[in-house]
Amino acid sequence: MIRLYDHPLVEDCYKVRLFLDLLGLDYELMPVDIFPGREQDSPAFRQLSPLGELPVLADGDLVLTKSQACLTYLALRHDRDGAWFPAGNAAAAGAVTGWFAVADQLAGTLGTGRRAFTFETGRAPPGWQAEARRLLEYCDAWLWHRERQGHLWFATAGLPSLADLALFPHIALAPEAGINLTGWRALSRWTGRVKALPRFSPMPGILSTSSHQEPGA
Amino acid sequence: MTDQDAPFPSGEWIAVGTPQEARQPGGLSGLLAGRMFCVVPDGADGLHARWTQTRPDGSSATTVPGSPALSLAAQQAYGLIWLCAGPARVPLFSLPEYGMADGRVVPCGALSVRTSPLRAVENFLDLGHFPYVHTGILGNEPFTEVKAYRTSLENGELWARDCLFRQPKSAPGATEPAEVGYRYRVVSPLNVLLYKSAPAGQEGDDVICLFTQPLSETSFRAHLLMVLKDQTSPMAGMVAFQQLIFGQDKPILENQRPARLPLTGLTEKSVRADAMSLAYRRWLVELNWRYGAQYERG
Repeated sequence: MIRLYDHPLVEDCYKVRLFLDLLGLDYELMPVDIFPGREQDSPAFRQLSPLGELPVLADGDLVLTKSQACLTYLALRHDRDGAWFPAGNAAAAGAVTGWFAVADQLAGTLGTGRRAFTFETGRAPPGWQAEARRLLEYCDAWLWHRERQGHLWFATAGLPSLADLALFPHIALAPEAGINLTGWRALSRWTGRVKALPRFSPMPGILSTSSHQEPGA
Repeated sequence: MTDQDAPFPSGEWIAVGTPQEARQPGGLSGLLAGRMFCVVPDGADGLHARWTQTRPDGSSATTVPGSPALSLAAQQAYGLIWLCAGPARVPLFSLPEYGMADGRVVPCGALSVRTSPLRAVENFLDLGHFPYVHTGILGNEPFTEVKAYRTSLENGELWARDCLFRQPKSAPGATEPAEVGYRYRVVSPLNVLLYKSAPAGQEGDDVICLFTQPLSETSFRAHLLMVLKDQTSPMAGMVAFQQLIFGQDKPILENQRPARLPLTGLTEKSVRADAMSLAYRRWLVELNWRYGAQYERG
């Protein structure tokens, strides 16, 4: 059985939970009391995750940290259709990992801003709001052009990829960082599409349904 | 027109953090209704609280021009530090369940929310939202009925008794759906707790607390505490359960408009499910409570 060391309110944990649900895999959640218990600093947890970070994915003897590493592993190991990580398509695979980097930039801006306010843990870097807006603007414009070409997802034609899952929690939780998404309409349409995926599961702060319109509708 | 500047919520005991935080270098600093405070141990097993002018990061604090100087008292109770600005209106409420041998204390930390603290207290008192917001945990369709219950004012506290709700997973240790009895106890406008029957196999009531610390009229920190009969579930799972529940409420709270709780126009017809919400709003009006509330000027 796959085990996921998890916290219900951490975006990077949700990314992996969501993908496990979308793949329809059985897994066991192992809650870690990072807050207020600071269990991530315990020697037992540091054995699993030397940097004290969530999530941690354990599958048999394998132990993985870093959400996008977990996503990639799960796709290559458990996605029989090979759609979520297009390993056989060099251009698409490169594009997906490029969006992983953008997801990390969003985590460093929106994510730290959200945590600094909500949990009073850590401090967001100076200017994080402007940088987050710049990134969201870029994502929105990118999606708008993709839609014009008939594509609904960030990096792939047809089906969504890990790029969409890596970006989704950070973007959908922007309001919790105090940044309203209503001006970015392509992004709003896209979050609606992610939420409409079969077996989609929400996390606290992300409502499971939303009203959205596809382009041309 | 609405009121813009509510008076400072003086006289109220307000949870602001933990004794562990106060023992950190520099003490426990934070925002209380627009003013910065700092709490440090006073060396004699007590606490010393004072107003400060600067935030921990060095930036200048919001000051309230022309506001009279307010004393600041501190005490430690229920694993939290409580502050009261000015003379206390009433003593800090009593929570005897906290010290009982069969009660497991589960501190669930604090989360900040962008709305009036009164909105959170009102939401805490609402049974009707369980099936829709906490689906599969505190409620499930089609079991949406809120049965009639009693509300009363007792010794300066607002109570609701005889509440019943069918819940799929009423507590971290619950293994089957159950009809769960609730009693709500609003001990002050900013502090609320409930007693609910513990899951099958456990005797007595669990206690769930929400203590709000206003940062401004439209933002607050929610201090979450539980005292459970459950002696076996791992702590991390119990904390995660409560943070998940509150995390589900948070976006609902933050999307309510206006952010401040409207306390006029209370004559609208309501269904009985709203009885406690209405009682809470009427009680706030009787107390002439202003902070985080909105009154229409008539």
